[in-house]
Amino acid sequence: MKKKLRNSILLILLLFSVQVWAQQREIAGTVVDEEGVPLPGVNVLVKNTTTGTVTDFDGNFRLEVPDKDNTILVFSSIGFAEQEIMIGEKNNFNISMAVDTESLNEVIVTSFGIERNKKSLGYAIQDIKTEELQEGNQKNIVSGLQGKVAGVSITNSGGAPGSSASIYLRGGTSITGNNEPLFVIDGVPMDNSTGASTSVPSINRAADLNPEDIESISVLKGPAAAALYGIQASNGAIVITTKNGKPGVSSITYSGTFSVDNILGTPDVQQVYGQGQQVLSTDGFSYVTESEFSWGPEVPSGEQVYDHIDNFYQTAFTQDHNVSYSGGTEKGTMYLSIGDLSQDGVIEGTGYDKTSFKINTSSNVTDDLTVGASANYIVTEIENTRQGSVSGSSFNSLLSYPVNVDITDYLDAGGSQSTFYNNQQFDNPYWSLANSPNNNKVNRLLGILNVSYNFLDDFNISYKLGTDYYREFNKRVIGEGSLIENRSDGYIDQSEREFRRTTSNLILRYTKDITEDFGVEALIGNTVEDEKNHYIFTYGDGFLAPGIISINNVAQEDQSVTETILRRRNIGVFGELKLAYRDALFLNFTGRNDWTSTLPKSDWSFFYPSVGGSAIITELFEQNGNDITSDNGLSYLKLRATYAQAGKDALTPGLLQTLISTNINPLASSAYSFNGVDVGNPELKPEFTDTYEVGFDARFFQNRISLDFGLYYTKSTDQILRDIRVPPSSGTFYSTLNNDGEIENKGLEALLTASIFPRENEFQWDMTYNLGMNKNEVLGLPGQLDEVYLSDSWAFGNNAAGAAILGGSLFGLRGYRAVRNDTGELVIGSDGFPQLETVVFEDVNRLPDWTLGITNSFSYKNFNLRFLLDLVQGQDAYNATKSALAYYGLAEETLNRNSEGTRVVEGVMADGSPNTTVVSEMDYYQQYYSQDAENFIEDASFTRLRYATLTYNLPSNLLDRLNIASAQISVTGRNLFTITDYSGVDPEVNTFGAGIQGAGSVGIDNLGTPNTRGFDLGLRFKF
Amino acid sequence: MKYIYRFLCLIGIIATFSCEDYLDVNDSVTNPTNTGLAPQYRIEGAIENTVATAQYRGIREVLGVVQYGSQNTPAYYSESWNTSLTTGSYFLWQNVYVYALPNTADLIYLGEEYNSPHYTAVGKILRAYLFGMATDQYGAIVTYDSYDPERTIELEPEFVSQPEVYELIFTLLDEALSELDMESEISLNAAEGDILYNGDLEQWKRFAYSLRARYLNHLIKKSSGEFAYDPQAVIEAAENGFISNQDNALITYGGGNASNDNQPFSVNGYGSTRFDYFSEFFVELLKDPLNTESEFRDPRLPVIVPEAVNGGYQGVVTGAGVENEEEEGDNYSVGYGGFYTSPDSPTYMMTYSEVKFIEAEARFRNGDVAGAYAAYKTGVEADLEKLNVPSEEISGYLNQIDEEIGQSNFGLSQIFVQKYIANMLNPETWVDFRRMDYNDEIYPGLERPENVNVSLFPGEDDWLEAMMYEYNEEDRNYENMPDNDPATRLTTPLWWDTEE
Repeated sequence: MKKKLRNSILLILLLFSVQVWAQQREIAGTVVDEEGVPLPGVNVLVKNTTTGTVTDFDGNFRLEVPDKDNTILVFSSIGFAEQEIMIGEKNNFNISMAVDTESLNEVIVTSFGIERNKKSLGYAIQDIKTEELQEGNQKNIVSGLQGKVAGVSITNSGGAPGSSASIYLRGGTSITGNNEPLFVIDGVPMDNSTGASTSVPSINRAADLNPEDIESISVLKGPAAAALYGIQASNGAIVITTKNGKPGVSSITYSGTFSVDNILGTPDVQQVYGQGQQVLSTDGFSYVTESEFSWGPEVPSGEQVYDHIDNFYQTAFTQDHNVSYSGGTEKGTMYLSIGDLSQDGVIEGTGYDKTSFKINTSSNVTDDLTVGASANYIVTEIENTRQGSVSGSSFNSLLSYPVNVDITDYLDAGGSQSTFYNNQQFDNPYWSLANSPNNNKVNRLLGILNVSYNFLDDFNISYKLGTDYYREFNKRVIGEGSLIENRSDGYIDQSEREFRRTTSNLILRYTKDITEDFGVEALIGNTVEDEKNHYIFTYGDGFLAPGIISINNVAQEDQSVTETILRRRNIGVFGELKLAYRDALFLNFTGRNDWTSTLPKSDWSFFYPSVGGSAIITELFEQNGNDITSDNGLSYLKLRATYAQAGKDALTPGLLQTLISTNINPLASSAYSFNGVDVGNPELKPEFTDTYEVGFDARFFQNRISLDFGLYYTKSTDQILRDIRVPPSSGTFYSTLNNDGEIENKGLEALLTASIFPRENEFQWDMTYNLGMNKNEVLGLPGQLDEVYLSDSWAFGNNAAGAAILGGSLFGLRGYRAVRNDTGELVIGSDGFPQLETVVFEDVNRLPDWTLGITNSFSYKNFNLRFLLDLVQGQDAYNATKSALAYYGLAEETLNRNSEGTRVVEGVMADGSPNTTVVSEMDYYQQYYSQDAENFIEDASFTRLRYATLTYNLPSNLLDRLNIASAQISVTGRNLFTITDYSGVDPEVNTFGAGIQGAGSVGIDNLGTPNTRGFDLGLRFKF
Repeated sequence: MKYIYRFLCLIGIIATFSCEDYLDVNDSVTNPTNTGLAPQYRIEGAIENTVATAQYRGIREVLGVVQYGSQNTPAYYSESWNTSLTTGSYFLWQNVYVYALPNTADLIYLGEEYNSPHYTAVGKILRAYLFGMATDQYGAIVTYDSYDPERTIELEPEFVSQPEVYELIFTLLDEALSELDMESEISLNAAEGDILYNGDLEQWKRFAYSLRARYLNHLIKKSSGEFAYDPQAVIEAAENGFISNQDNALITYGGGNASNDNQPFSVNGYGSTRFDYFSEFFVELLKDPLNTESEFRDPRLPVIVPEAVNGGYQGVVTGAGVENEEEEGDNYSVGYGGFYTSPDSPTYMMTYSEVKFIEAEARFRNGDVAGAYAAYKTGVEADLEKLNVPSEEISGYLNQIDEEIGQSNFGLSQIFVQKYIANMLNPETWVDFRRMDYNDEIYPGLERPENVNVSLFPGEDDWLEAMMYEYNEEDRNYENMPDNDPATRLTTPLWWDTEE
């Protein structure tokens, strides 16, 4: 032992002396691929130094190296296997790079954009390259990840243009806060919030990115992966790297898609009974025709009937064009792009437009000093209709038109909106399209400046300053002439939001192979984040004159303005130490301390660590002379384990103070008063999530089959719970609490990839299986609460809402259920209807038990066929749309109504005697059936063919003559089929969108626009 | 290690800021905090939320219980004591605890912070009023664990028994009285927020004494112990209480466009839908207020009760509703439009006449019939004056009383009938009904409503005795809450309503 130590010290001294005394000599060479084609942009590095260069356009390089025979050159390039060459006495090298089939030395982007060798990581991470992301032609990058990453649950909220997609990694950790991962673009966090509007679809802001600009996405699944990002990454992180130019390669790429979309379907609507409602009085049973309900008598044969919902939707067309330039020299690189998306909605007049400009430059000032800058400017505009059960909602209005009423006849002779029955208090959906616009406009700039400097051989210091800035303008209008109660003069509300987040990252790294066997990598960094949100909300009640849709057209006294400013600042200091032994054993420690403005001074500093390790078993055996790999068996085996903690502050500023305001209870007082809502908690403490994970990565048959498998357990404690309903006697309806909230998640993730045929084969078949399983349980809630629900997710009739259930799922449900006696009979009230009580549905879980994404890729010569089959199984949905259809008398299940129009509900009275009270069929459905949430909880498991794409690459001999580097034509079908038992239109549903925090609204089907099925024609040229 | 952090913290940000200053951005720059405004900017909100939220909710359903008004639908829950009352969907609770009390707690805190004990006194008087109103409807209530600006909210508040609440009420009033005698740096009306008394400290003191008289007088069924009924103490308090209608505690409404400028029970007020018609009991009582054989209509009848469209004054039987309202409705006197239910009608917290009726009751119980009779007549006179009845009619009324009743026939019934009329739309009436056991000898003509929920109130003498705690409280604080089974809560008399 002593001897070894002395030897290594000697060796270190020797190494130093060698460097000090080394003489330089110049070498040169050419790098080609297996077919002899010169390779530009290959990195050539003297091993264990920062001395290096890249090959030029013709694959040539020239480099000064230490004049020492054992100097080793490392050649690396993405897609090729890394090569090491000892220079010996040669001065000229012809290097042939082999395509990397093994990708054992996969380089992966981790925290702060730092590239790491995947085998050294002790935690689960999965990366998605640009081609994979773009498969399926999703315009929202979150949707683009669907089915492609193990253990990631993504739900599109609907088919309206500019709808959000929610994303959860490993379930959720927060009862009332954000459960979505942190989005990081080129090392700087970016906002992916979704406006929490329950009336108009809102987009998640990561959708602003142009998928074409993205080079790769690393999904850091747990807090382990994100330990260094701190606070906001306790739900994992989506680390996005954008494209940049490559030295020696210049190209211009055009890509475009043309799409047609139709909604997946519409609910089945009965076509037998027409307008009217049933009346049961002392005079007996009768019909009243004047009604918005379809509870009238049978429509006489020969009279026209309509399927209003089906007729409402149209075929939508989308165009997407992108042009990019990429180029560079040894001195610097550049990437420029313009993208323009113009998407029509499936509802007339709705649409989503996005234009983005991107520039990414990097310049090598000296060999050791690099500066870079990038800017992404995005303009989006969304036009949409109202949805859900709010007044003015298109879908709700469609239900309010009985099947025998002509919905297109809605204007009277004077051009005003007409009514089809007395006392109509809702707008015709077509009238709303023309008169009640809703739009959302965003201008956004994502900018980054960065400097990186290598010094003292082993040190690197880098600094990054980034900003995410946008202004959002939202306008929602009810047009003048509306039939909605109190809205006949129209109504306008508009919100303006200015968001700015500036991030500063300073990182010092030290990398050194201490001995041949020992490597050390140390990192210390500081990050400062400054966020400001400035909202101005204005509303105006009643337009003065027709035709002018502006707040100016509202009398001064009918306007109201509210201003909110929220600021949040955070300082983090973090460090990481990585130890490597013989490139086969790795140990990794991290620690981070945060200081945050959103917690009280006494608790605004908190520390959290992680420790992890990995062992390359195959390598260890080989080094000990016992190679356990074989060509027909195991080729690689890695084991990994990590424990990590992530701290979290109160993400929303201002929770410590209790604010008062005027007009809080406008009926009673307009003076400054306590409002019972903005009640602060000055004693907040940070919350923590602890994660344990283990896993292995095994590869077989010359790496043609690989399996990455992981198990995890996370526990989130001391939750900061916002807007918790507390006993009114405490002085408030809602409060921010910091005790007893506890959530557990456990699950597994598996990624299996297989190349069925050897690489040389002309026919290739690749398969990827992404499996994720998660079970989540709420272990603790504060005080005497057994549930926490979010009123934002109240579905039709307020009969049910998403809720976190104590002892049940974080993504549970609460609502009405019929009271039953001990023998299971319905208990009927004196009014003749089954009695309802509010319950928590302990077994309902709106997130899937497991998901499996299966990607298959077949290629033969210039053709490639890929498809993604997405299995999402074991989740429940609440079908409020069906409840609404039953209420209005449109559901097919209401066809069982008795011809005499009445029934006696089977059940017993409170005293045990059988019920004999006669009620009308309509009242049965409206006052009981549609309100009993249990009737609409359904298994929403599904299997969906997300996309199938056929690509044809034009032959190179043709392209050469056209001076085109490559060209590709593809045809894609999206959502081609779905296998499900769900009775609604689409089991993948989240009507209120990703903006609902905590328990969210995934699996709540509430009168939204269904998802679409579409076809795309794609073109891609590279010059 | 700490030094390294600090060092990095400093280089991470611009060196001129310290970390602490840099992070100090959490406070609101657009809204004041609960303790951030001087008390003169909070007194108006404290008074308005006490009256227009809490007291309004404290009478909205009770007006049916005490048969001031009747709804158009039969078996309305407040009149027939069924669902909503039995399920805890009665919301005085949250209006007291969430809207009203916190503003008074802030006022007390701010009065101390700003060396202005007058505000502390006002806060305490309003709290005594609110705790009194709440305990008189629920019994045991939350007091010490309710909102306090100096600590975080109490997640599981403890309930306090009614005698302890009464103890607290008297303590609060005593403290307020002594604080009103102290020097205050900021005067009550500094920002024109004292909408009760415009900063007149003597009137505030008289209000405190009047409340003291009211709550002492609730204790008539107590013959022993700390809270034994002491008529002399009631009389003493009443004598220190209001001395004229000028002292009446009330908030006014302008009847303008803004909804909060309208009396809640007026046509566009936010409570009008709970007062469809006047009740038959109330209207008939005003047709024969002195319960005599001779025809004598109360001059207040046309002032308080609107005439029916089809002429005359007719109330709806409580609990019966109006069948076929479109045709029949015009035969009845609608709820809005009278002295108490017009857009510009004030809401009274307590009046001079109530104080005189309290005094009359205490004197009567103390054997001083002459003094009682005199106080009673002053009370009647004050109410007639409050309603702007012409003076000749007032003297006519008083003469009628002397003729028909006189000191010899005078008793509790006369006091309670007049108090019932004078305390129109005041929750205090329900306390009187229960203290007098809904006795129709006290309230001639009083009958159980129609469609009474017989499963909970089977006997003819069973009446509503208390309100259920709100279901929100039960869901989240059931461990601390007394029995909230409707069968016991709605039918069990409160502590002051039981003899001991």
